[in-house]
Amino acid sequence: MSAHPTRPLLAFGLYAGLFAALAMPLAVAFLWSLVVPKAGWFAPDIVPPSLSLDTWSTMLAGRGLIRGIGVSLVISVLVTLLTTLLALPTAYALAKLPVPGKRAIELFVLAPLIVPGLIVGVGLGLVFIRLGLAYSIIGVVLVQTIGTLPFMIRVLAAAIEAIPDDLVHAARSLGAGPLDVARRLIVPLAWPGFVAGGLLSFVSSFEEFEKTFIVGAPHIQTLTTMLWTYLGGRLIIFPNAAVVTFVLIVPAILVFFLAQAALRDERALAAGMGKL
Amino acid sequence: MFKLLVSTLALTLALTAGARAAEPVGAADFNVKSAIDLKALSPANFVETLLPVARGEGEVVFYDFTESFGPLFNEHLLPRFEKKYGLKVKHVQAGPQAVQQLIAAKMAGQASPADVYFIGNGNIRTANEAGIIANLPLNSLLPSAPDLDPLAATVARGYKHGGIVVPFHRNVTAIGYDTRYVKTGSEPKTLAELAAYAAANPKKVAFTNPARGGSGQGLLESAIVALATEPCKARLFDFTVTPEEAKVWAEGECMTPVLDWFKGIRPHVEITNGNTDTLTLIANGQAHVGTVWEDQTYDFSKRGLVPPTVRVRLLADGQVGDGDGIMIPAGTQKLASALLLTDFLLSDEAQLLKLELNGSRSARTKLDVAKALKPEVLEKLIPSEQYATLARPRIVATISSAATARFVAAILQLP
Amino acid sequence: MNRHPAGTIAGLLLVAPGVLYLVALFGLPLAMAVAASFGIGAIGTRSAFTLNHWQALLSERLYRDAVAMSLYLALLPTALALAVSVPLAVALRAGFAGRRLFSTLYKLPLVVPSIVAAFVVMTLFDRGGVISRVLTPVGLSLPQLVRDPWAIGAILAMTWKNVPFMTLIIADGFASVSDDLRHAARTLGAGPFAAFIRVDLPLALPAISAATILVFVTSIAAFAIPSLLGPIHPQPLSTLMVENAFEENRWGLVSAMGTLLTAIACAALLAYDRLTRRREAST
Repeated sequence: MSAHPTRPLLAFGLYAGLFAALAMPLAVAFLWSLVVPKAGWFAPDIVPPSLSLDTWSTMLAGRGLIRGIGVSLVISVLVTLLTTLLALPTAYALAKLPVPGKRAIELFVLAPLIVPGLIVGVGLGLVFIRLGLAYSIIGVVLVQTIGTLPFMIRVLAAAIEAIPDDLVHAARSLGAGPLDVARRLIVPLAWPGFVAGGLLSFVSSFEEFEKTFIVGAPHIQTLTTMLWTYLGGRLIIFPNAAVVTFVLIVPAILVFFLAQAALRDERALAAGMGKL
Repeated sequence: MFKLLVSTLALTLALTAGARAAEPVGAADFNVKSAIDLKALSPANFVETLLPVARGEGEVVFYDFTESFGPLFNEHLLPRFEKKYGLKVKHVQAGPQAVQQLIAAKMAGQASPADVYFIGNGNIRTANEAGIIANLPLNSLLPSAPDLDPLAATVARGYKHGGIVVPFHRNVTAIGYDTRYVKTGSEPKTLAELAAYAAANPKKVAFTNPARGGSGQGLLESAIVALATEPCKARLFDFTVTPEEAKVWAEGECMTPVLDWFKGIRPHVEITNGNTDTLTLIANGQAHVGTVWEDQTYDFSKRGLVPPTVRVRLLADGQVGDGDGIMIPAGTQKLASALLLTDFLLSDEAQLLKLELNGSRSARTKLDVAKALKPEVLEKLIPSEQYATLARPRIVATISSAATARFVAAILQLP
Repeated sequence: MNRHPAGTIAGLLLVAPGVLYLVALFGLPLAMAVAASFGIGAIGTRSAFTLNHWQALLSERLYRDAVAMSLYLALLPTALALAVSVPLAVALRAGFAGRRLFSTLYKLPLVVPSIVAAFVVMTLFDRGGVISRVLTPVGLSLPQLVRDPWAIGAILAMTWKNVPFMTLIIADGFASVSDDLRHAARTLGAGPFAAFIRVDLPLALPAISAATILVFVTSIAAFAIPSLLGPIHPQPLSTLMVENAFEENRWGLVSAMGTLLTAIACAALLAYDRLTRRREAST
C-alpha cells in the first residue's frame, strides 16, 4: 500500500469513542486505587476527598504478588504454545481437507467455552489427583488449554480458509511435504490468525480462575488465583480491585505491543509471498 | 419457648462433651494419621506433646475460605504463630470451592492439600458427610479455648457436627443505617418500624436478596423466628428436618405471616444482588437503611468503603447470626502442627485481635472483650446489650433454603 | 476439493490432535457431569440413579425463567458487539491517523477481568454513582441501569468486554481479503460500498461467524457481570449454578444445569449452523 490515508474525521471519532469507553472508566478505576481508606469516596463527591499510594504499596508488599505475575506469565506462554501446536493441524484439516462429520467436530470444539469451568475443573480435579498432575504447572497448563483450544481452532481455521486452495495445491504438487506447507505457506499466510488466536489464548489463560484453582492450588498460585482475595464474587474491595486491574493491564499492554510489532513484520512477509 | 429450647440444648451438649482425654467424635477410632497417641492427648499436655513432633513436620498449609480475613492472617496472626513456635505456615485464599478439592483428594486416596481449613459453616455438612474432617473433639481439646459456647462449638447452621469444627469466627446479621440521614434513636428498631420507615421513604431501604446474600437471608430467618406461629416454630431448630420436610414446611401456612410482611415492604425497598451491593448503595447515599452483616460493615468502614457515619443495630424482634469454623482435614500429614495452629487461632490474643481488626465476634464466653473494645471500635459495632440479648442462632439450613425458595417464588417472581 | 480417500485419511489424522485432546480432557469431565446430573458419582452425595434433578430443572418455573434470561444475556451483548465491531474492523482496515496506537489500545478490555468491568460499570452507572453525582447538580438523572429488569448495565458491560474480542477476529478476517480482489472489483465499476458488500463481506464471513459464535457461547455462561449488575430476578442459569454449588452443595443439580446449558448452546449452534450453511450454499 502507498501513503497511509489520514482521514482526520474518522480518527477523531474513533479516538473520542476510545476516550469515552476506555479512558474514563480506567480513570475512575485509577482514582479508586488512590482512595485513602480513612477518608473513603462517597456520594456526593465526584472525586475522592484525598488521594494516596497506600493501597498500592500495601498490595505490592504483600506475599508473592510479584511472584504471581511471573507464574502467570510462564503458564500463559506455555498454554499459548501448546494450544497452537494442537490447534494447527486440526484447524488445517477443518479448513482444507474432507473430514467425515466435520460439522459435528466444529461444534464439539466450541463446547468447552460453554460448559462452566467449575464443572470441568471438578471432574478433572478428580482425574488429575490420581494421575499425579494436581498442584503442578503441567496440570494447570493442561487444564487451561481446554479453554483456549476452541478459540485457536476456530480462529486459525477461519484464517486458513481464506488462503486460496490453488496455492496449497501448487505447493503440494511441487513436492512440498506437510511440514514445509505448514512452515512456508500456512504460517506466513495465516499469520494474522496466529496472532489473534495467540492473543486470545494468552489473555484467557491469564484470566482463568476456576480450573486453575481446583487443579493448581495451593502450590501453583497465579496472579488471578491470588486476586480472588479482592475480586471474589461476593466481596469486591474497590481500591484493591483497582490496583489489581492495573497490575494485570501492564504486562498485557506489553504483550499487545509485541503482537502488534509481530503482525506488521509478518504481514509484509505474507504480502511478499502472495505476490510470488 | 425459644430460650428454653436453647438452654436445654446447651445443657445436653455440655453433659456429652465433658473435659477429659480425647475421644474420637462419632466413631470408635480416629480417622487421621498421627505420630502421637491421640487418646492420651488432653489440654493439659497439649503443647508439650505436640511441639516436638510439629518441629519435624515442615510447612503447614492453611486454607482460608474467606475473602476478607487475608490481612488478619498474613500480617498479624500467622507471623505471630510462626514466631511463637518456630513453625512455618502457608496461607491460601482457598474459597468455598476448596471443599471439592479436598473431597477429590480423599477419593483418590491421597494426602490432603491443606492441613487446616477455615471453612464456611454452610459447607460443614457436605465436608463431614464426605469424611474429610478429622474426628477430633476440638471443642474440648484445645487448651486455649476451655470456655467455648457449647452450642456454637458443636452445631453449625443447624447441623450437629459434635465438636470437630471449632468456632473461630462469629457474626450476626443486622440493620445498618447512615446517621447523616437517620439519627441514632430514630432508626427503625423493630420489624414493624422497618416496614413503616420503608413505606415512608421509598427506595431508601436496601434489602439483600435472600437468595444472593446472608444479610438478606438473615432478615428472612429473623422474620420467620419472630412472625411464624408457635407450632411452626417448633421445627426451626430441629436438626433432623430433611430437605423434603423443610419444603413442606415452607410451602405451607407457616410462611404466610412472614410473606405478608415482605409483600408489604416489597414495593418500597430496593432489593440488591448481595451483601456488598447493599453496602455500596449505602455508600452512594442512595440507601439510608440496609440489611447488613455486623462484621462486614465494620470491615468496610475501616477500608473506607462505607461512610464513617454508618451504625449497626439489632431489631428488637431478634436477628440471627452464625459464624464459621476451623477444621483439620482427615488427610493431613502434619497433624501436630495443624493442632497447634488451630489452638493458637482460638487463643485470647488471636480472638481479640480478630475482633479489633475485622469486627468478628468470638465464641469464647470468658474472653475479656472490654480490653479490646476501644471507643472507636465500640461505636462501629452493635451495642453490647443488644448483642447480648437480641442475637439469635440461625435456623436449620434445610428450612432456611426452602424458605428462600418460597420467598423467590412468592415475592420476586412476577405473577 | 480433494475427494479421494487419501485426503480423508489425511484429514482424520490432522484433525486428531485438537479433537482427541478435547475428548480426553474435556469430554471426560463432561461425561462425569452428565452422570452426576443423574445422581451417579456427584461429589458430596451417595451415588444412586435419580431423575429428580432433571425433573426439577425441567418443571420448575425458576429454571425456565433462568434459561430465558441466559439466552437474553447472550443474544443482546452479541448483537450489540457485532454492531460495533464490524464498522470498527472496517475502519481499522481502511486506515486513519494514529491507527497503530488505536489498534493496540482498543484491545485493552480483553485483559480486564469481567468482574472488574462489572465494578467499573457499577461505580459509574449505579444509583448515586460517579455519573449521577455529576448529573444531579445540573438537575439531570440517569435511568436505573444496575439491577434493572432489562439488564441494561449488564449488557453494556458485556458488550464492552466483547467488542475487542470480536473486532480482533473480524479485523483479521478483513485483513486476509487480498487487495487485488478488491481492486479488481473497483476496476470493474463497483462503488466502495458495493465492493465491500459483494467482495469483503462474503470473504470475511467465516471470521465474522466465528466471532459471533464465540461471543455467543461465552456470554451464555458468563457469571460475574450478570451476578453483579443484572436484574434481581430471574437469575441466569450461570449464577444459579454457582450459588447452588457453593451455598447449597447440590452437585447433582449443578451438574444437570451445566449439562442443560451445554445442550442449549449446542442447539443454538446447530440452528446457527443451518442458517449459515443455507447462506453459503446460495452465494
